[in-house]
Amino acid sequence: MRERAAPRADRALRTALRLVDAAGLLVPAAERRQWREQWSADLWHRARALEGGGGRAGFAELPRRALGAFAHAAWLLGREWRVGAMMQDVRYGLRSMRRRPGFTLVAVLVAGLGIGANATIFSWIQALVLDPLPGVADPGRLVALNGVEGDRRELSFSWPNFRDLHGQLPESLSGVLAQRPVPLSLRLGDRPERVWGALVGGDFFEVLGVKAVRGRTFRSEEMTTPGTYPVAVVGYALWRERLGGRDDAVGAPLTINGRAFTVVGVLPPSFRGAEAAFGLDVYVPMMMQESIVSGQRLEARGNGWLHVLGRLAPGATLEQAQAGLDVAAARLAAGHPVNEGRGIAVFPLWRAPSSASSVLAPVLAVLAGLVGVVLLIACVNVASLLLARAAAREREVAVRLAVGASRSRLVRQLLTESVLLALAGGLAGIAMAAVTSRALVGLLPPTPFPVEIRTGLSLPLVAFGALVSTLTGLLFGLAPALQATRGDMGGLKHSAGALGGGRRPVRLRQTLVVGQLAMSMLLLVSAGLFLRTLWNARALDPGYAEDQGLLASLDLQPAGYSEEAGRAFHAELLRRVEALPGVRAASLATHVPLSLGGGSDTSGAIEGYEPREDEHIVLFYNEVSPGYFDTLGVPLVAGRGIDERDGADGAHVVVINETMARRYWRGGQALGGRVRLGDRALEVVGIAGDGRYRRLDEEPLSYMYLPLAQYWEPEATLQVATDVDPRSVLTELHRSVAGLDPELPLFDVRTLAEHRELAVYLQDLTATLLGAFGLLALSLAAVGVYGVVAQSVSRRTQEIGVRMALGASRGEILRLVLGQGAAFVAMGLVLGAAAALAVAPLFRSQLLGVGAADPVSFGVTAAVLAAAALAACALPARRAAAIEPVAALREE
Amino acid sequence: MAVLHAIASGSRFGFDIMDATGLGSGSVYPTLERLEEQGLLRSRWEDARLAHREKRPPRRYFDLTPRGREALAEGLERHRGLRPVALPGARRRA
Repeated sequence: MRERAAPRADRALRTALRLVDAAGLLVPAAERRQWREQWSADLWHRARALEGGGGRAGFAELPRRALGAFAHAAWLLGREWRVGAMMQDVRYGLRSMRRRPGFTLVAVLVAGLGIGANATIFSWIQALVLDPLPGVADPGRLVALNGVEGDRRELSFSWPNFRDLHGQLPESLSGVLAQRPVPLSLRLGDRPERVWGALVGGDFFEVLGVKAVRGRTFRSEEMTTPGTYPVAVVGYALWRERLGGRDDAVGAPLTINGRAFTVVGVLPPSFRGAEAAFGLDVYVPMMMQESIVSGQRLEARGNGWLHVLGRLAPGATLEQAQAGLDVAAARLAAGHPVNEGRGIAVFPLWRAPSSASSVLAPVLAVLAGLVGVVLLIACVNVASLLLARAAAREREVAVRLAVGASRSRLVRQLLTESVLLALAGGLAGIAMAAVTSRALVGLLPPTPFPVEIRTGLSLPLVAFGALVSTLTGLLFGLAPALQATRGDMGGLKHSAGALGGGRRPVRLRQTLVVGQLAMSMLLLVSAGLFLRTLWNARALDPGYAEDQGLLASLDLQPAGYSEEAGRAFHAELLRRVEALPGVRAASLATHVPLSLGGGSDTSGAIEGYEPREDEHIVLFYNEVSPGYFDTLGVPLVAGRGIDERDGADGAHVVVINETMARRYWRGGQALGGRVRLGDRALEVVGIAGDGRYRRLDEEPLSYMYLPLAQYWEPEATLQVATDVDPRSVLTELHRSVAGLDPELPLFDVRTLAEHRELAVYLQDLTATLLGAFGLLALSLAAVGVYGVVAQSVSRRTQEIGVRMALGASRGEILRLVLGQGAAFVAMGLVLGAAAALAVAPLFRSQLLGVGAADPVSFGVTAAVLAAAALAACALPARRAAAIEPVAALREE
Repeated sequence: MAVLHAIASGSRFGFDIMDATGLGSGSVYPTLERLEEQGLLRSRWEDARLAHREKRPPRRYFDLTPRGREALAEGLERHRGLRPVALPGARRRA
């Protein structure tokens, strides 16, 4: 029996041993050998016992038992990673951080800068893109609805069109809302105050899922009966700060634009309106439009002025919503000629064209990419520091390896330390972001809008910081940890104070520094490109020549002026202002070129021009008073400007720009031609030079100037051209207005120079931030270069001593060290230039008049970086040159 | 408890302890490691030269420490009623 049993036992044993071998891979290396011996010995003895007939379960018992080796191995692995061991690592890490406070401080600061820069940008992305409408229920299901026509995708809705859409809603939408942010004159104390609110329609609060915390929101009759229910819902902040936070504020009267409204509800504190980046305080039903903004807009189908949002029905997709809206748009076009050629497009909230989110999203994307690079550079710096320290800790590591610590255990220990460093850096970074993200809000230009970007400390920000810190710690810790534990017992051969262990860490550090230089190059080239863009933008002709003067806005609507009284007020105001000393000219217009708000547009027809089948004529316009062209220095190419002849009772006239003349009269005589707007036919009496009206980098627009007296608008901006410092006439200007109406506030007062800065604000901000990050990267890289060269010099002290003893001059030593530095600086620059060439085309759309491969940006950046890096080499090079050969040789 | 008792009763190698307690290999070995960590067991390797002479691999065997014996005695006192059920191996040897 034994003869037959032996081969079977051997077969079973071999299978079992193979299983044990496989399971052994899981066992921590330090324990693996003994573990294998134990298992194979036990199995061997059992196999022999089975051969002797001692086993009851037969030979199958061996492989079955051997399966338990996996459980055993997993248990050992788990033990190594148990919380207890982790805590030990953490305690050890904290101790070693305390032991080297200088190192710790530098590493934490560097990591903190990198993480802080990222957290700052993240808090903006959070506020503008990820959660643009705080306080709104399930914002992911909200969509923006825009009018589209041809290549324009940001057209607003007229009320009749919205009302029809609301009445026949596609099934894929559970509701739609219309809104328009408006400035209001609120009488809270003695004087009227300007406060921002919104006219809201449709299922405004239902779509947003916002409920009142006091009182109620609007009833359906309040949202559907024109001019009957003067009710308002107020924001929490206004209720707390201006209405005393009293419960009886609900039901109390509130004077809005001179008319008594009743407060019916207070909204939750987190809700600041349904316009991204805006903070709104008062909500009034659309039906009260005539008390809030001028004109009878509730019946004008051709007049788009409303922003529309919708909520996707449960389970509905964006595609289904689009399909439903296509049908709705076709119905609107079929029913009303003014809608011909118009479609409705649906967008995720943050991608809606013309929303603050979508305007800023590309900028934020570029910034996010760049701060990512800054973080990488910071990681490289900390990694470089850790490598230098790893050299110093070589002996400690070697001893621990020698007494049986496993490599994985040591790597984990070192990684724990680097993650701890990074988390400390993360704390510093989050603290920094809480401050800098708000400071960035302070960098925003003065806008005519209630811009409110909610950044600062938040749960997602902290979570982001923690995540980035951990990843950062692993990233900058991994290479040094592997490097430090690579050595067998080699480290023991060195004396405790020896510098460096072989060439590997030095080479790795050099590689890191080359990478760092390359990334700095990338950042600085980007900064250079945007700086050039900024300069080009500043140099662009905005279409008006005047740059010395003032702008100030005034709104007669809240003050209760009738159209006739308003016209008289405007005329008298201009007469008085023009008479002020130092004032050269003055005018009024509803839009100022290159304001952040853009301008108005309308559909119209040109007599004698036959539009193509799919063409819909969209004309941008401005209503201006006499003197506008002279005041702002807008050139007149032919005919005349708007002047005193064009009063309310005068003939209907229009001045158009060159683009419009070329486009619709095709080289023919535009002067004397006719433009049809609604039921009016306007005669073209002048052609003005082209300008830039909405954005500096816009395509040429067809633009018209209408007489303000014929197209009455109560809200207008006063332009004042001065021969003296514009600020010096400000007092007199205020006095003139107060002399006419002491109740009327002037707002958004700014000089023309300040206004021009507004137009290049985005380019300015990008260039400033990129420049700041680029300089940060440059200084980090310089520190890295210094560290590597300095380390190399100390390592080569003896060699340098020998060279000098053999007759090398100090100049030669200097060149030797600088040459070594120059080699990897050059490498970094070449790599960085290649990276920049690859990356820059990604933001080509944001560049103006400069190619992505701009030789000036590349050249200047390379020169600056090379100079900084070589300066960083100079210090250790001088130290090397100052080495006393005798002293150096005596070392060791 | 069962493992301690098995060792006290003379099962000193991994597989014997499995037989004695009826536990699987996947739980016996980790239990042995834990008990050793707690100081209730002590493990030794057989003398390698002796094993070599006998042409077999040396085995790791386990002994109770004085603390282990105390713990076992306490445990037995507490679970007096369970003894016959938990110790099939002991019966076999008896």
